[in-house]
Amino acid sequence: MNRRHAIRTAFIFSAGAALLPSCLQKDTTTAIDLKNIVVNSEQQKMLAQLTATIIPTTKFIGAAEVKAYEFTLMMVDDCYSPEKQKLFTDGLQQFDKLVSTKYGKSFIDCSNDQKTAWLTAIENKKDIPGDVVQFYQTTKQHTLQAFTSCKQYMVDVRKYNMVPGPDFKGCVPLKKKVA
Amino acid sequence: MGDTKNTFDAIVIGSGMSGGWAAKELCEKGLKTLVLERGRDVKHLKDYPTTNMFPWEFKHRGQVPYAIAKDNPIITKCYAFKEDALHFFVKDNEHPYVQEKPFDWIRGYQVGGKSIMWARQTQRWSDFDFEGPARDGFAVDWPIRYKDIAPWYSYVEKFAGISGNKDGLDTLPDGEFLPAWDLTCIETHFKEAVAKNFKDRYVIYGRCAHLSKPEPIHIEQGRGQCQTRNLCQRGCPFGGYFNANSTTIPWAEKTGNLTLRTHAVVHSIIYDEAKGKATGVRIIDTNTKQSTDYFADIIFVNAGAVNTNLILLNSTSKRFPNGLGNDNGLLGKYFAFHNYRARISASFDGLQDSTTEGGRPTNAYIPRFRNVYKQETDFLRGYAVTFSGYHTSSTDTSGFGENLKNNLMADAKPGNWRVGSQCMGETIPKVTNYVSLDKTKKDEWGIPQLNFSVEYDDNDEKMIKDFIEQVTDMFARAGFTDIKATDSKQAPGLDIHEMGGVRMGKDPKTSLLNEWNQLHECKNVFVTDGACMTSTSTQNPSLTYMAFAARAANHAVELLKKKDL
Repeated sequence: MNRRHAIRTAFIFSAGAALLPSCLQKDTTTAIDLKNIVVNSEQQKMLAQLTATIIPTTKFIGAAEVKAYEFTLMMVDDCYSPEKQKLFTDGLQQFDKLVSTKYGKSFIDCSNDQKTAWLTAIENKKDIPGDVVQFYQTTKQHTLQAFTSCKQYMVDVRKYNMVPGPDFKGCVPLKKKVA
Repeated sequence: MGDTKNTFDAIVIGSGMSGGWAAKELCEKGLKTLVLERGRDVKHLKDYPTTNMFPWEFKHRGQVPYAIAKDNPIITKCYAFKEDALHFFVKDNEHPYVQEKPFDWIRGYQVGGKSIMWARQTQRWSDFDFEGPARDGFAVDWPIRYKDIAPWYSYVEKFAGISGNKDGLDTLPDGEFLPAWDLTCIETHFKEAVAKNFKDRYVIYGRCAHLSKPEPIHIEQGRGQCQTRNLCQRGCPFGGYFNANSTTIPWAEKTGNLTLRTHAVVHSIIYDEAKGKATGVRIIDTNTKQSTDYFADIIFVNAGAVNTNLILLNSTSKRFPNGLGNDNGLLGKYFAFHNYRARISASFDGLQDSTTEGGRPTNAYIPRFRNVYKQETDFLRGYAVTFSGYHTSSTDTSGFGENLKNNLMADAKPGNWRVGSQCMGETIPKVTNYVSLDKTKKDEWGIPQLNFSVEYDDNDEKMIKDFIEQVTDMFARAGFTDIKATDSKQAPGLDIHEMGGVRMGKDPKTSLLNEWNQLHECKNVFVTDGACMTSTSTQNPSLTYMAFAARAANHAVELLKKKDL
């Protein structure tokens, strides 16, 4: 039971080959309640993998732990105009369609190298349609947002302190990084 | 005459920045005071729902959802209308108004009003301000001078708690200050550059209504030391800044003389022709729509500059067919605001080895330096300049994957300093700028909708040009680079410093209020909020409203004692 859970976890979070029967892919239910945009479970899984590829889990948590794909979908659903929402969902569809055309499989099934090559092309905007670039940049923006605004990152990495206290020093030496 | 349960010694309309002060003074002096608030109660600490929320606890990380923004385009323009404080702002669609000319009317309808969300910047006026209209030939002469209000500035500053430096400038009188926090490296640098290059231009610490170091009176109020969170718009768990909710309203309550009636929007002030004075206030319950009359010997109208005009205009009678006290037809006219259109930003590559540590709830301020001692430019009056800066640091967010992750985990790289200034320009009140009641449109409670006919003029345009030229020059001389100026072309209103319409003056033919903020023609009605302002000057106005309210309330009590009202 533990091993199957570990494999399934590895499947969702890592850019690995599909080790499980394809029926399991259709088991995923809608993780969040969307009111305005429609994104099916296949697309959500793709988005989950995309966000996890953008900010992977290392020794420190990554996009997966902060549920970045859910946050991205929620932000598009709640904070975007209908026109921008359509651009996002069209871009999302185009994204996977183009991957299939280029690599003969969906993003989820691509190898690590293929995913890297694909996202690099998008980052460089090399021969990539505008709506796919836009979709990727939106997803990346909200993935970064979800990650950098999470408690662990803000407190442990950026030393965020909501209550600085009554003292303020107007001019202090900037601490230089020790090599 | 009303039944005793609806009869009080005093009625205060509005429970915000100035109304809270009127209530506190009147209650403290023994008057049974009814405070009418159109919105809901907001009890200090108890009713600040977002005050202790961490950034990650906000569903949209501070952004206003599209559905709300789309339905409320006007309030969405307000810088403070974000996820953490939007519950304190009035939604456009709930309170429609008429714009004969564009005006972005920003409102907060609850106990405390906009004193919950204000920027806490406080400066005194000087006689360079009070003498402005007389010297420069606009509006009418103020009926008071600095010496009349100076003791009341001291009075309200001590109670509210104002942090500041004694700068010794005639243009900006020093006050009763709690300690100032440090100026930052960049402010000191800019201050020194300005002092070296100009005489009579001073970069000073931005005086603010914060308890940098509480005095015994503040502890007695139940407030504590400001912890520099800079989340004031949510309401403060420490009571570290002044708002009515933490300071004046509870103090009034403590006296046992306060009756606070929420969900009561004022329809009109009741005028008794036989007695020749106002006798009470008609309200409409905002929930039940039921009308109730309350009675009192004195009435303070502190509904906020615009709504005070609305109430007086709507208070018609045979004696006053055009609004209470409006014999001269000037009620609603000479309405003005602050010119906030111009901004400048820049970079600075120096001070690479320095930064700031901790938080601070204010920035720097440059008092007006144009046309102070004499008329020098092709426009009248002038502008104050805010100044702020910070040392940038950035994370490389290019790429994706482990590279990106490593960059996100690494120390942020310090960059240059970014600085910015905002113009706060005095506007000239004119008879052609006015607020009025729409002839047909009414709100949910049958009260006429307010109409704005207010616009910028040539003086404002020239002032914007001068601000951009002068501050660009000051920035350049300080070694700032990449200097960019913008004119937002925003409509009047986002300054949230609208004033006038019920102006003070010596002559009842050309003004509505006397030197004690009493309506010339109805002496038991007092106006001490923004509506009373004869001119706008270049200071953040709330401190002056507090001083007017305290001064007028004490005078009202004196008059009552002498049976002069």
